[in-house]
Parts: sequence; C-alpha cells; structure tokens
Amino acid sequence: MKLAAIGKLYLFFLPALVIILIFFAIPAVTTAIMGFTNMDFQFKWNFIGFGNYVKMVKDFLIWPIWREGKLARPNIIINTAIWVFATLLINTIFGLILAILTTSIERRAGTFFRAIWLLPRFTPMIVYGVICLSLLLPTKRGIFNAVRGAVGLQPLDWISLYPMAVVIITGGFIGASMGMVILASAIDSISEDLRRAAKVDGASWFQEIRYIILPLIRWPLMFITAYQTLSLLTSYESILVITKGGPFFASTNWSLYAYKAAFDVYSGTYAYGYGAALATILVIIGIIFSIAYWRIFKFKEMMSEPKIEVE
Amino acid sequence: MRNLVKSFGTLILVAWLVLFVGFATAGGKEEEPAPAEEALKVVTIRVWTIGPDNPALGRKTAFDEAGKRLNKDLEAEGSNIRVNVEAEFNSVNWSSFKQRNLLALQTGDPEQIADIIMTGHEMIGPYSVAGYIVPLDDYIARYPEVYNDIFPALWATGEFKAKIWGIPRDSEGRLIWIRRDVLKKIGWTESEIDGLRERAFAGDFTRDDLSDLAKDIKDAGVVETTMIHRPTPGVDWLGLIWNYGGRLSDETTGKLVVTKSACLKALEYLDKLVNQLGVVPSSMTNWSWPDINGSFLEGRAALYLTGGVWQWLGWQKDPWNFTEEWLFENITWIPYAAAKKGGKPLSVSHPLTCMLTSVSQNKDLAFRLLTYQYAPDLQAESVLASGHLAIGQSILEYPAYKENRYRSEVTRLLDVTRISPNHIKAPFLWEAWMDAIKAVETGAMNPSGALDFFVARMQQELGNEVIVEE
Repeated sequence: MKLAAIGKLYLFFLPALVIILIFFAIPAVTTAIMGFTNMDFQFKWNFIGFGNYVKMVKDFLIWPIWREGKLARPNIIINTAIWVFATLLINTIFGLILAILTTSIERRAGTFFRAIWLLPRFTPMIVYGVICLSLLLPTKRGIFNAVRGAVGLQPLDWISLYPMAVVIITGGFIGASMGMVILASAIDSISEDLRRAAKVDGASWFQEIRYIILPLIRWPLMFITAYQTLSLLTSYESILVITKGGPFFASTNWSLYAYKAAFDVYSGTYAYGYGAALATILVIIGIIFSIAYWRIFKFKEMMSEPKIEVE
Repeated sequence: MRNLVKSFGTLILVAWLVLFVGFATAGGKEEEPAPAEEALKVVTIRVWTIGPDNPALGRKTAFDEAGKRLNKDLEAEGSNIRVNVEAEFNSVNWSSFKQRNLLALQTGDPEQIADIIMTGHEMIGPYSVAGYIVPLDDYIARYPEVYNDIFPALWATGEFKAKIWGIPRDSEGRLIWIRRDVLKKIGWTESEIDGLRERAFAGDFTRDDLSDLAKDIKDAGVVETTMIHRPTPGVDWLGLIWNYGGRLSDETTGKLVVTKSACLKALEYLDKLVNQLGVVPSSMTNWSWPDINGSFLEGRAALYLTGGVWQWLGWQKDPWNFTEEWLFENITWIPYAAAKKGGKPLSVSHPLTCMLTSVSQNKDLAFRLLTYQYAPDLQAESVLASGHLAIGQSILEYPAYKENRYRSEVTRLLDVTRISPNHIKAPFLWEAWMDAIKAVETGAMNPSGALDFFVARMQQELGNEVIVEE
C-alpha cells in the first residue's frame, strides 16, 4: 500500500487507538507494575518483587483442595472455570436459539422480541441486581418464595443453596442478548436465495438451520464464543450485586476476588498491590485464550482477502 | 397645558428626591467606617460525620451550633477570626463513607480533606500508620475541664501505640432484644419477663438459657422465625469471643490475638442455634436489613441476637414510626448473656471517634471547634435524638438525659462494655471472623473447619502481627 494510504488508515484508527491506550493499555501496565508493590491504604509504591505472586501461590482460597472425592472448601479457580464455561454455554447457545427464533417469525415481531431481550443489557447492573435480589429474597417477601408460598411450599434460600446457578443464569440472561443481536444480523444477511433453494429441495426448518444457517454463521458464532470467554473472565459485577461472592466464597470468581482484595473489604482497608497482581494474572490468561482462539478458530482466515472477486 | 404637566412633573420628581434622600439618611447614628486592619478573616473548618441512620444527624448539627458559639466567643475576645463550619453527614452506609474518606485522604490535598473526621475507632490504626491523622494528647491537655469528664474506659477507643489519636463520641451498647409479647405467649409472667434483665446482669441467665428459651419459642410455634441477627461484620460478633473467655489483643505487644478455644466455642454456639436447634435460619446472613427489622418489629421474630441501643430511636422514626410506649410494652432487652452460670455478662461498644487530620491548615481552631462540640447540652441533645449513650458524667447528669427512662436503663450497659482493639488490621479481623460465622451458618463448614479457616486467613494476612493461642 502507498504510504499515504497507510497514513490515512492509521488516521482512521487513531481515535480508537488513543482510547485503547488511555483506558486499557496504560491502566494494564500500571496495574502490572502495582502488582509488584504492597500498596495498601497508605498508597505507597513499596516494591516487593514477586511477593504478591508468592502470596498467591500460598493463598489457600485460590487452590482447590480435595478430600474424599470432593472439594474441601469453595475455591476461586474452580469457581472461575464453572462461571466462565457454564455462562458461556448459555450465552452462546441461548443467544443462537433466540437469534434463530426471532428471525424465523414475522420481521416486526422478531424485532420486538429482540428489543425485549436486550433490556437486561441496557439496564444498569445495580438495577438488574436489585430486581434479581427481590426475586430471590430468602423470606416470604421474595417473589419466587411468594409463589412457593402460594402453593403451600416453604421459602427457599436460593442464594445460599444455589449461588453459582443463580449467578450463571442471571449472567446468561444478560450475555445471551449480545449473541442474539450479532447472530440475528448474520442470519438476516444470508441470501434469501439459499433458503428458498433449500425449501424447494424439501428441507425442513430444522434441516435449514443445520445445513444452511449454522455453517454460514460460523464466523460470528466463533467470534461470540471468543469475545464472551474473555468478557466472562473479567466480569464480576452481577456476582457482586447478587451474591457478593458468597455465601462463604461459594460464588467468588477470580476477578471478584481481585476486586475484593483491592476495594471491597467491609471495613475499608485496601490491598491494592495484591489485587493488582491478581488482575495481572487475568490479563495473562486473557492473552493466552486470545491466542488460542485465534489459532483454533482460524480468525486469520476470516480476516484475509476474499478468494472470489465479486464485481 | 404642556407647561402645567411639565411643572407638575418637576414637582413630583423633586418631592421624590427629597423623600429618597430623607429615608436614605434617616435612622441610627452615623457609623464610623471599620478600619482596614480589622477586616474579618473567615476560616472554613470542614467536618465529615456519618449516621448512617438519620436520627444521628445531631453529630453534624452539634458542629454547626458549636461554630456559632465559637464565633460568639471569638468576637468577645476581640479576634478578627470567624469560623465557617462545613459539616457533612453521610446517611448512606459505612462502606461508601470509609471509601470516600480514604480516597480523599490519599490525595493529601487540604482542599479535599476535612479538618475533622468522625468515624469508627477501628480506623485509628490504619489512619495513624498512614500519617493521615495527628496525635491529640497535647491538644486534649489544653481543655482538661472538657476531656476529664469523659469516662476513662472509653479513651481506649482512641488510643493506639501509647498515644491518643481520637476522642470518643457517641458511645453505644450492643444487646439482645426480646419480644415481651412472645414470652407471654409461651407462658412467662410479667414479673418473670421484668426479672430477666437482672438475671442476665447477675450471670444467672446464660447463653445456654437463651438457646433453651429459643427452642421453647420454636416448639410453641408462635413466631415465624425464632431468632435473627445482623448479616454483616461488626463488633457484636467479637463479643462472642469475649463471652467464651477469649481475647482479641495483646496488651504488651499490641498484636491481635486469636484464642482458638473461645472462637471454637463461639462457632459451636452458632452452629447449635442454626443447624441443631434450627432457631436461626441458615439464610440469615443473606437477609436484608428491612427484613430483619421488619421481622422483629412486626412480631414475626422473637429474639434479636445482635441489637444495638440506637435502634430504639430508629424504630420511632420513619419508616417504622412506633411509639415509645409501644416499644416499652412489647420489647425488652438483656446484655449479652454470660457463657456460664455466675459468669459476667457483657456488651460491646463501637463509639465513633473524632480525629484531626494531618493536612488541616487550622488545627488549633479546628480542635477548639471540636471541643465546643463536646458541650454537655450539645452532646446530650445529640445522643437523646440518636439513641446513643453518654460519654461523660456531665451528659449523664443533663436533666433531659437523666429523666429519659430508656436512656437511664441502657446506660447500665457501659458497666459491662468491651471495646474492640485498635490495630492496623483490625478491620480485617472483623471481616475474617464474619466469614467463619457464615461458613458455619450456611453449612459450608463445621465449627472446627471454620476455625481452621479463620486462623489460616488471619495468619496469611497478618503474619507475625497475630498471636494464635489455644
């Protein structure tokens, strides 16, 4: 490409690059550096080398301990793995189902239902969390327990009994909407000719989905999978609002543990250095996942020049 | 005609000017202009206070009134300095108050930091180590008539490493609330109910008697939930460790202490209440505050294990609006019952403390304002409105305080009150202990597993700043 053309390209990217630099790159580097200090409420940059990482290795909340075939106590690594992959499953599969269903019905009705499903995503997390809490209150005032009471059942403490299920389902409800929107657009962009041809050949609705739609939306599907994995690795807001990571760390994932170490100690002392080290590990894991997805899903192929020139 | 209008108009104008000048110069003697060198210098003193419950607004208004009194005295002294008090009152919650304070303190910018901070005494350790506050020993010595009045036992709240960093404000006591009407429903007489408090103070009504009572209430099926408690960390929970003979700090070294046997007994007691007797719901640590207070006030719960004296006033205000007569008729209280017969009951107090920030540009004036705020009438009116307890003898003897039936009853808790230790990691102790309690109550761990967890967390976080003893 000519120099001028390259220059124009970078000029286009410049605003995004500046934003990424200010809001992602610089904070990431600062956080990584902070991870080598024991900074707390005194806000002093005392460098302690790998002290925080040694602490992480010895931190018994992080590493699973098995006794008699089951976990001896709640554990951050296992919680994170369950949170990411279970929520990812719901986000991707449920998002796909919603996209297929809303594009299979009359256009306006489909748009209307997609708008409803987008509401949790547009709602501030604290509002969404408060709504979930009122559904899940352990007393008879909770909406789910009110329904149970109406049929003669005792109230359940949903959050204590099923903390991971609660946060996974609520996270899935929010995350599915993003997949739904992207996949619905991808499905809409499939040429109508292909679908008519399939119908003429006698394909059922299910066969149309399996042999026409799914293969043609594989790139967006893989993008959603990769994007949501990275997003779930670092998200904790819904968990913080709904279960606060409890009961007793049962729903605390890695990013929430990092947040709590730095900010959320009840009485207000802050282990910023340790929290930063924990967050840095997440960045490293995110980079590893990004590289893995790039290779496994062959995103390079997706981004390459098309093999057919269409004029 | 035109000339007539012109003349009339001129007449009106002249008359108006005469009247105007007359009014402008009328009344009072002519004042001498103030000399330039006596122009007033207004000094702004910023104060941060917190409820978060609204009845505690007196913590702020006492400073407003103190400012007025200070200005009057400054004028009488012939000083050209006047104070402008900017006192804030946080009515949200402790977490947001502490977080905001800390983030402001770390800027080191006097424009962003208050001169005086009124906050929980557990922050004395962290704030003093970080250099955010100054020792007050020399300042206190200037006003002995005020500060010698404060009960000696309460000074422990402000002490850290042999210096005084904070002055106590608003003492209180933790207690166990009991529904009188529920006791009557299970056959207790009025005299038995009235005598319960004396029995608790005498060590005759113990923790086991309390759990037996809870079982009787549960078996009678007269309430939905037998016993409730707070869902969050707090000094109340530390009271359980003292109850069972444990200690929290070492006087010689100032280090925090974990007494394993006492902690285990405390966790076993809670395990008994929740998992064996079923008198406390296992979901208790997930309840919201409105649910907790609502359950108790609406008679759906009988025993409130971790109550506080200030709640009495809070229940008379929005959103509950119960009358004090109704409260006396339906609710009674006892101190934390002794662990065994003949033992000592106890209460725990979490007084706030007033601290002077190191960046304050007007420390002397700010401390003088603080001292004015400790006037007996201001303190008495504040604690009467908020439901807290007197911190000094002169407040005890203030007529309105003395005549207040509720206050005169609960002040007795100060005789058996303990105060949690000041330490740089004192806040972590609260948090880690609460996690152990949650582990037992939710069934995640048995008491000995939860104890091991608590000890491991304390050792991991505090290292050699914690002593673990059997």
